[in-house]
Amino acid sequence: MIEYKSKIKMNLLILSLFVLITAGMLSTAVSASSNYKTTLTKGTEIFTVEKYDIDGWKTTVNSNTTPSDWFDGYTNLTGAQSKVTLKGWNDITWDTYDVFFSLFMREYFTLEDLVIILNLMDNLGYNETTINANYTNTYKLWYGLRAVWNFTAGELANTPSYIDGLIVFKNPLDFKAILDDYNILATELNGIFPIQLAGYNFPILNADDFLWQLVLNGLSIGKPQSDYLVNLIDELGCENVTVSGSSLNINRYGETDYIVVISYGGKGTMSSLLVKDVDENIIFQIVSTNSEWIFYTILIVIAICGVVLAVYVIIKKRKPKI
Amino acid sequence: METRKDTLTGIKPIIYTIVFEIKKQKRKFYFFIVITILIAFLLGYILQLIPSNLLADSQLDYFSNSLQLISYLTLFSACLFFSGIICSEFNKKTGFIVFPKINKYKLIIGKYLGNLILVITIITIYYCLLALLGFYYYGGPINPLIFYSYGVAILYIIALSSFVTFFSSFMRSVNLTIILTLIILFMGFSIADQIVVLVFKDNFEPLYSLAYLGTLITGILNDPFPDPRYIELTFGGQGGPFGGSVEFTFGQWLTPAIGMGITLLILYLIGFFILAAILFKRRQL
Repeated sequence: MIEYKSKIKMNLLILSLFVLITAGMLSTAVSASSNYKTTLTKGTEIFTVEKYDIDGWKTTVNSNTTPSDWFDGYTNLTGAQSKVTLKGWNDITWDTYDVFFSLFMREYFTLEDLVIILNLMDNLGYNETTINANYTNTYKLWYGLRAVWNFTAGELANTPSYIDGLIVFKNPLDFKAILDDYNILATELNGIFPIQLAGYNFPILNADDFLWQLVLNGLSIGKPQSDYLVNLIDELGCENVTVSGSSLNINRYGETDYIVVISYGGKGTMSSLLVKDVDENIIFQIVSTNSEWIFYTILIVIAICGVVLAVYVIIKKRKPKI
Repeated sequence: METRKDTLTGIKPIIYTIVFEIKKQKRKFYFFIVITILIAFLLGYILQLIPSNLLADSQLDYFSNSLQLISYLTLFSACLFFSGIICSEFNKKTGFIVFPKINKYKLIIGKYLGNLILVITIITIYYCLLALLGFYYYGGPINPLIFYSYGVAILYIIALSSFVTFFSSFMRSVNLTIILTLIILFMGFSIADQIVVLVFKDNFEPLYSLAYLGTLITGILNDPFPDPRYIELTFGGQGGPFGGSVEFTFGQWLTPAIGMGITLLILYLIGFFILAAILFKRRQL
């Protein structure tokens, strides 16, 4: 009896330890910001070009471009697929310099140009220390890493095309401060003679341009998604963007007016992209799928088989031998 | 008809022995199953719940990382399951019976196959869980290279089992066989490999080593396959007040070539089985 009791105590102790460790790990995983929470989940999304109307694109969006100018790879082929695997993420804080470098400079300049212009800026007194001293905003974000496979009509390669960052700002109101700081700094830098002489120019962005740039670079959002998107476009002051549920409707102008609808899935990343003309004709469409439901189906089937097997064994053991 | 009946009568004792052995090793098998599921679940799922613990870049990398522990699993299971196959017969004096009810070779073959089925089941469960989790994180289809890796793993287990069976054929006790084979497989080969690489560098590949041949299980998952397969890592220091900068170079053979690795594993298993059979026969005399 005593031995039995000590066994129960031991089992309870092991169970409590396991629960404590698991709870500890999970609580670290979901440490949240004040308002918005991340819904990022490790895993893979497969994107497929569902429709591409070449003529529609040429007459509506741009006669000189194709969807490949928006997304890397063969986006101009219907049925082409791409894959994005979210590897993980971390809570970090960015200074203005981090934002200036990661969101803007890397977007506008090649690697060689970056080396030259950063050196030039440093000589002119615009380095990380001075920029962060003059622009004191800091931004909290979830910084993720993702492996990206470019769109291809054939089979996706075993290794990704590139690894890049995925950014979710914890507060959508930060985007306004980011854009304002950038525009002030860009104006300042554009006015400096040595930078002009070297032939470099920092584009001045309006809210719509900035949002479009963010979208093409894989803007990800926090939960609740519709609130996040509404706050984002209201604070930025976007003129040609509306929000419906967890989708952004961006009105753009190319050869004629057209609308880009970007929908966000449960994970806070883009789940579909739709380009349509003003008559609602679909010109280009990308949809995403994942295999999670197949995984859970397999898991359920295995669990059912396990239960059936266990029941069978128990019944067989209980059956009295004649 | 008569020949078929004879064959069946000949096989029946082996099948009975297999079933008996599987029932006998039931507890050990359940223990390894629990350990296998725990390892796969902890490495493949629980660790991935931590956001900052990065998932591998691709499905193949994920398989490769998760298979790092398989060498331990295969070594332990091979040593614990196969160590008693022959020596337990002599330990319990059953090997000396002059007129046994069952042919001694059939008994040994039955015992061996019974244990092999159990160990292969353990490894298969590990691979199935891994494939399932790989599918969960990276989507389908499952990369076919995992099946090649599984094939190599099975071959490696058979080679390991032949090695342990060989030791079992001349050792006196089961425990001693387990300890000795574990020491040789865990430490002996590793130490020998390091000495060989230190002395001969890339001039001599440690193909004699079962531990090195086992690296083909994960090596085959590389796409493209590593070329060159020998790498040198150099660590340098600025030096202290007593001397200039010092550099250390460590060489490492990543994996055997696919054809050579498979051929050697087959040679290993044939060689050790023949040796084990000879020693078993001599021991009976």
